Amino acid sequence: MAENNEERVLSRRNIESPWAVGWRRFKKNRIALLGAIFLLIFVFLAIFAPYLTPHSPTRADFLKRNEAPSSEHWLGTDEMGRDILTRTLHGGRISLSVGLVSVSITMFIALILGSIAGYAGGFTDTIIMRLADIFLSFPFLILAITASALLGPSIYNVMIILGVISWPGPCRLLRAEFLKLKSQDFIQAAVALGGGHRRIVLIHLLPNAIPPLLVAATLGVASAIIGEAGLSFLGLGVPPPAPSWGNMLNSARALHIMEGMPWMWLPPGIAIFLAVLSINFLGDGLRDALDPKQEG
Amino acid sequence: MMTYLIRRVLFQGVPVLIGFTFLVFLMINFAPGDPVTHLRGVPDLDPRVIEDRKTQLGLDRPLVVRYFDWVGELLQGNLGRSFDSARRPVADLIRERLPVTILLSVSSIIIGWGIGIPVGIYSARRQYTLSDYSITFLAFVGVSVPNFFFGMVLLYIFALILNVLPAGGYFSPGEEFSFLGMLSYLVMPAFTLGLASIASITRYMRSSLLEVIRQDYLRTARAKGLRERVVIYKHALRNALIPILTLMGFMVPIIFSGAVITEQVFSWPGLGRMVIDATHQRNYPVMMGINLMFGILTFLGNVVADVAYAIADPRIRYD
Amino acid sequence: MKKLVLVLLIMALVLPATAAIAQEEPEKGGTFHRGMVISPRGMFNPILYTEAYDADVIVAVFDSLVTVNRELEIVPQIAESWEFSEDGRTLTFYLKEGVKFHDGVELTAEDVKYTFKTIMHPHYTGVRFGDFALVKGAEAYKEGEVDYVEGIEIIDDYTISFTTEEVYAPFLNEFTYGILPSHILEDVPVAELEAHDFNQNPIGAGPFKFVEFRPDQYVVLDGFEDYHQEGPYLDRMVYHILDDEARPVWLRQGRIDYVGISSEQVPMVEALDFVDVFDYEALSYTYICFNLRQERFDDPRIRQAVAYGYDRQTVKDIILDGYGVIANAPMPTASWAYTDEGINEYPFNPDRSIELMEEAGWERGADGVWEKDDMRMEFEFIYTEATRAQEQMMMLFQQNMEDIGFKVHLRPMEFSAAVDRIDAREFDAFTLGWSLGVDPDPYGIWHSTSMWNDAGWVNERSDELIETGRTTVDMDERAEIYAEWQRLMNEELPNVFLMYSVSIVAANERLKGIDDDPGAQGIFWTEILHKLWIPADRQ
Repeated sequence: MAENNEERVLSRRNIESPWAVGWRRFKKNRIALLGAIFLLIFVFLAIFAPYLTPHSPTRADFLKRNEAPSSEHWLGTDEMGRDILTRTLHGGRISLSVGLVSVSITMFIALILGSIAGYAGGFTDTIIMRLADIFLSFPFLILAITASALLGPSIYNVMIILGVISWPGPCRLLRAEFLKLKSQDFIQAAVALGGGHRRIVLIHLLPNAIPPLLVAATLGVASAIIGEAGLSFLGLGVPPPAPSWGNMLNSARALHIMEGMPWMWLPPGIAIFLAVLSINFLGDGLRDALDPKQEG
Repeated sequence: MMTYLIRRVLFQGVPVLIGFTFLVFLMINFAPGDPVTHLRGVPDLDPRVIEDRKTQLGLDRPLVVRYFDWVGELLQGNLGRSFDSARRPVADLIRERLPVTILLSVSSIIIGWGIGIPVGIYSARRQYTLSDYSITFLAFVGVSVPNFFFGMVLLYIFALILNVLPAGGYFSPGEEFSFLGMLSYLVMPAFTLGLASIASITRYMRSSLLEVIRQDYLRTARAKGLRERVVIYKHALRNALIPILTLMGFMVPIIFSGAVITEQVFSWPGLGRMVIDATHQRNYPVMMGINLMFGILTFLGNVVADVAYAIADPRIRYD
Repeated sequence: MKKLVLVLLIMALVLPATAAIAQEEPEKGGTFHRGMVISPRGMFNPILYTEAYDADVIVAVFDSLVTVNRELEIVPQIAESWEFSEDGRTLTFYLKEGVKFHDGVELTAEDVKYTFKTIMHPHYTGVRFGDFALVKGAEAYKEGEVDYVEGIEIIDDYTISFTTEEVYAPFLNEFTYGILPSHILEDVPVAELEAHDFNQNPIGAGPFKFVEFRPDQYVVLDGFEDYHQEGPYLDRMVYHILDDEARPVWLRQGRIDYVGISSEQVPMVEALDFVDVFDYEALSYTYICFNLRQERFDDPRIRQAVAYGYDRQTVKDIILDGYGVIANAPMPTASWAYTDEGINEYPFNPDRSIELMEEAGWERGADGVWEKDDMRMEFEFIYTEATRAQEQMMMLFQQNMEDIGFKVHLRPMEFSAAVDRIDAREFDAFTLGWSLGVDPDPYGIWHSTSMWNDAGWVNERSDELIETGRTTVDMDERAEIYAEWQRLMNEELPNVFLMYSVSIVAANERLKGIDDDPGAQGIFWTEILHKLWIPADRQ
């Protein structure tokens, strides 16, 4: 029954865009929806963080350090007497921005280099792909350690490092999409009709290559959040006093805190975990919806 | 096959290695700070010492010249001497630490694949059951936990609370080498490092197998009346494994990244700890040596993956 | 101390007064496992190493002419005694007979000469020349003008003298470097010494023989049977390298007997009934350095305002859990030259800070930050790879400063990067710490010509006192000079001094022979390594 209905709908407006198809598929994926909802909650909390609690995320009060959860500090305080709830909310701002900005950087580079490589082909393509190989075939963390020695610790540098280091994946993806599309009839037609390069790339190729990139970008945000936590562990992440989930978790990385003060590490730990989990669910759902062939 | 390998090494491996090492060399040399900062605070230091030291280390020479000096020495099999106060040969420093890093990485790969593949198969065969959902969920969980944190939790539970495993480190002097002893040191770091691999291999294996199962030739096989077990294990599995093998190449660098953190958490005496230290010290030869080593290992991992791919899939021919 | 100017000062070989050392009869055997959080580099050569982690091993393998006791006084080790000549410029050592290197060869004046002459050699690659630059003829030898050092003279196999160009009070302290075996090294070109295998397979005359070094894992030393003093009682001493967070667990699992811990780990470690925790005031301090080359920091009242405005009491009591001593001058409490007489303690008093700023002619701008002419009290503050406690200290500093109208931009940096900026004098302010030697001579850090005078502090009176201090042999007189110097520093505050460090160590109770009322060197130190022991029933 359902399928018949669907077919009827399809036939009525058979120019339905792939986005609409995707949305229909996505709606049915409950886990992905759940991920999206959680993520929206996180984004909401992050945006309105300053209005949600009366405390400052950075102002220390040493008379109130290491306090267990109470009615004043719902999730307790850290070693500098700062409210953990406030820091976790503000940490969300920073961690999510690190994720978003670094992925934007990645996508910007990937879009440019991937389009050039995929469209131009030939020698240019070889050079760009070799460059991608260089980046892909080395442990990212070691590059990141070197890069952060060069740039010094700051939130912007973390974004840049994470962003620049991950461009090859999406770049290859885009290139592959371009190669696939280029052989298809409608592109051949556009070329035959004498469309300019820019026009072909911008109007015909890019929009059709967006879905897999969107999936990659979504999952990229998750890895950037985890990546920031890893850098924080090595002292190369977002520098204090600004809270990120990564540096909060790292500063609670002592056995005496693990043992006696779980309120310091559980909130950022759970926040990272839930955020990354919901982004992954969302990304996975998007992939199923937009690009069913690339399951995995 | 042989010609493919040679070509791969010469035309892909070598340029990539040169590009990468040059990139690292540039970055580290432009980073603020220099390798003589450890002399800071030496009482009554004669100012000549710092200049002499810089000359000894060749720091007074132009950057590009120094890079090509390094490549030149490398071609003669010489990685140079560390810039720190002990001036030991970089090759020795690496030789001392490489085996344990490889032990840790290979164990975590074995754990990742050894657990990920069967669990993935199990999950795929029971698609849409509770166990499938649970496994899928756990696999997501596995990639959503920062590994240093997972390591800390393991350390806390098994070393501090239960006191059944050593809190990091490796064999102590005088301790007889035994396989069991090795395992006791290895198990926590290897699982910490392997967690993400277990999770992603499980997911890939599951979807790869599901995709193969839907294909026509398996319908044919079933139609012929073959038992489901035979269909799965004899026909489907082999084909489902092929795409998984290509993953190996991608995972090697990820494993090494994770090793840097894991070694730190568990006081594991490998290359990862050394690279952090060398970076802070601006110890250029050591950094270059380790980066080169990681580069070569990653490249080898990729080649192994390619070869395995070719063996598993008779359609693939490299020539 | 009696007043003895330029008089023969002979110290007889007496067992040093190590007051609180346990009285039980030592038993032989056992392995002492100690922890360290940073691996030695593997430069186990007393004249070439630069890092403290190598030094920890070196002092057990190499004995030196003299060493330092609990009270930080110089006491005999290989030298049985020594004397200064009447003019105070010649120092003669009388060596013990029968001191053996680990390979059985006897240590003589030749070895002593080799060790110190190598430091002055033109091709020497280490950093110690500055310590001996005053030796007569050292400069000429270093420059390659002559092939001998005029100031080093072997009198017989067991007597050697060193002559300096001028009187140099801390000279005796320079002879705490271990003695190298010349019979092994004399044919090695000095330029190649640095890369020689010896440095990873050292042979000295210390209480422990070198056995094995595995970088990032452990160092193994064995007791040396033919040691020239009592003991060593331990069969073996192993240094384990471990992550700092894992220290309490290693202690608990009994894998190490001894390790330094952080104040946060104290409760976990104290909970172990077989481990004791000790603390002691070490020879180091932390400070804030302002760049006095900038006019806005040049007025002492500015620095005094910072000292009054920073709540160092909270730092000590809360952030450091009491493990610290507030510093108001750069002379550690453990030093014999330390004084608190006439020292202003700069108690936390933000109102006083504001008064001082006003006195100095500053006015608060629209945003509450001090301004004067075209200057403004807004600056970048560099700190390095911080520990948890340091991080908290920085946060508090920033807040305290904000309250008194100083706007601080915290800038965390890697150590190398920070040092780069400091050496180039491109900084506003930074915080670091100094670990000091046993002799109180402040020349290296505070003389206006010194390399490490980062603040750029130039003060004639200070230079004068420092110069007189290092040429005065009498300890009482020297102490008096340094007391005056401390008062000057306390008044001028070229740095804002923060804390004298308190070190905390944990030791398994089976470790005996330790000093349970530790002085500045902790519960055991070079001088008494050979006396450590472990009861037979707990080995």
